[in-house]
Amino acid sequence: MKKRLAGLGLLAIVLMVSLMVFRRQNFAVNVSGSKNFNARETLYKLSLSDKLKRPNINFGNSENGDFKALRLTQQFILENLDRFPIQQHHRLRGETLKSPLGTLVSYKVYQDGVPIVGIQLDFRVNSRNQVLELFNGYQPVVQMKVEPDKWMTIEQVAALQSSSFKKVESDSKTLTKPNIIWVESGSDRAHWGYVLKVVDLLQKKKAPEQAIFSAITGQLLAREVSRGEFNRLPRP
Amino acid sequence: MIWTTTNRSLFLFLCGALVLVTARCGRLVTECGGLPLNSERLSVISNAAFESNSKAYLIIPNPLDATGNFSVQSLDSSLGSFLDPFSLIGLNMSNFLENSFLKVRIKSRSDGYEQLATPNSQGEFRFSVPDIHYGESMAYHSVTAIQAYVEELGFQTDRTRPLFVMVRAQGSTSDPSDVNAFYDHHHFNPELPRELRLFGETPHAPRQDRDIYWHEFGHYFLESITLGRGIDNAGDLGSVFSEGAAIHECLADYTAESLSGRGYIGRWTAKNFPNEFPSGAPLRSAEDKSDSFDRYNKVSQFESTGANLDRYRLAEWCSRVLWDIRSQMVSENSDEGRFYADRAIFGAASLLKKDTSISDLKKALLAADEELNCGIHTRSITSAFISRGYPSEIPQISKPLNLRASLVWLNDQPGQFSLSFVISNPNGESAKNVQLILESADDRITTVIPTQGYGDLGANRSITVGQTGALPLDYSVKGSVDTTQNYRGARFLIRVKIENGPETVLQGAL
Repeated sequence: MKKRLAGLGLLAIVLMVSLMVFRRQNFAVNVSGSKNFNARETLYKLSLSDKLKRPNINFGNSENGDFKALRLTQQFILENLDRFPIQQHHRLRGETLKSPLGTLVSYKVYQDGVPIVGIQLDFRVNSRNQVLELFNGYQPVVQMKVEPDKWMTIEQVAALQSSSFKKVESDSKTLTKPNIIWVESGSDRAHWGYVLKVVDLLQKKKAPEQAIFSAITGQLLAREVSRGEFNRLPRP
Repeated sequence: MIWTTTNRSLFLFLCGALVLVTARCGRLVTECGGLPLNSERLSVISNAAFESNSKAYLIIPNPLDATGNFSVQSLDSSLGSFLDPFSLIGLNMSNFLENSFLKVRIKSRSDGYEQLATPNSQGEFRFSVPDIHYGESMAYHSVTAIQAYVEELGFQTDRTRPLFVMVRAQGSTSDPSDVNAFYDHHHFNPELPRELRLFGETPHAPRQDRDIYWHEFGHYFLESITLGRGIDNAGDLGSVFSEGAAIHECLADYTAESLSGRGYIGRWTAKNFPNEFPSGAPLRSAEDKSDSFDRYNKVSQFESTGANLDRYRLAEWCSRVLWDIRSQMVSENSDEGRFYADRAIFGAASLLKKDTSISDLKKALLAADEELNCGIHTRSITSAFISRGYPSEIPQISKPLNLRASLVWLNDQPGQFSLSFVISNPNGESAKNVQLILESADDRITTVIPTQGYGDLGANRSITVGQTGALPLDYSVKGSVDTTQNYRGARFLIRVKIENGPETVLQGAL
């Protein structure tokens, strides 16, 4: 009887410890609805065969980031390649920011050093090293061919757009080739682009804004609108 | 008591049972609750009580709020007696108002140092209120103070690119009475710095108002903590209205209002619009006013005049919801409640998705409170929305909205086209957060303004754009083609998306 009671007590303690571990693993705020990833588990589970299967994803170095968060999110990406079909010709450069809800990690995408604007991956690593996906905006954009003979000059773009814009010019005096690859919202369609400073012909806006023009055709691809303190809306 | 084997066993058993019950039914402290805040340090920072050898003489937050005189103007000679010294922190060089992140300029980024404010022989930046250099001093002090505050709350800010503040920026028009302030995050070009540009040279110039700097900083801060993923991507690309844009303005207003401890913004700057604001009235108010901004349906429902497509209307309603949540936390803890409120609200902001919505904001607030405060404000957060008319349950509608659209080539913009359309709601309930989306189904078409938002559309109501007497094409989507190529037959899709019902999809071709 005494031994039985002692055994029950020991069993209760074991059960208690197990429940604590179980509850810790399952408590996580998952904003996006995707799978929670306990990095600690994966660190222990990675086997040699897993490492050999790992594709060669090009992660760029972040100069001043939270390296633990970067490493955990990189592992998360590698373990979930069905969700993140990162292409070999893309380089992911991670940046981190601390917040009370953990470390925020964002991966911007580059091809041959040229930023690909319109796609990125955002994660949060919480205080218990759980990786939570905040935003998966990655698109498996094809490798953009570098064909300088097909690129228009900025002057040619400005001339083409002269009936829409009073001014089209670069912020940089040394810009002679496309400075971004632009991916249209919600698609994997990409364009070599010049980001240029523009002023409306009709001067609807008070100050220059940024616009993207195709480096191949010179057509307007997108325009970034400033955030104003007040609104002056066009009325019927 | 004799510690027999029996007693020992029983003791062990009871301990185990007790811990088992606690673990099952209770919550471990480490499972929720953020790190404790350093309230003392936060109080120092929020009062701008820094210690520094460099000082600027300023009237904080602006001459109207500081003096209580609704008639005061910047040229009033009496303002000299209201200037007080404020420490300036983090200066790179004591001679100029900049540090490794923040650069204050007058007209543009390329201003020479010889044009900028420099201190007097005592190391003080001391200028009269109308002086342009006064604006530079106000800019530097305001931005560094609020940045120090949010960082002390635990939010690291993105310093990968500098922030330039132009206190009287150059614009395409030179009308000094044209007053405004703009923030540019420069999503497109990673080589460019962030920019904050103030315009206007009036007796109530924006550069003299700390509220304006704090509101604009709020935009930068929101982009920073959301990692630039585009919580208002539609607005970034030219949408006139979106719920994301309203939330951007709401959080920018809240940032300024909460740190200042005043539930309103812009009384000084509002003096520039005497036909729109009575003397002394603010631009916007987070406090109860018993006006049309108190109820959700007054600011969210589409009206044929387009009045509710002014993002600031929904933004002001939203700021009142946040102020209610803040007020609850302050009532629980008068010393520290405002800090915990700010941390929870900014934390929620960091969780917002691309092209976010009011319903996303509500979910994010609940999620942030769960993680930072163990969810003890779930009821007050939910009540804040309900008490201001936001439905607790949004009824689903069964029929997709009807859409009739026709292509319009824009004569003044070669190669660009828009859509003239009518969207109508055949259901007996409102359609929530109606958005028109243009999608290219062909390499020959690029979407320039892919999305426009229209708010909620009431039962049996319609939205008309691009027709006589209706809203102009500025409220529509826009695409472009290469005019040197044959684009005939290029295909596109038009979607009408709503939060509480099925999508409408139409196919079209050029």
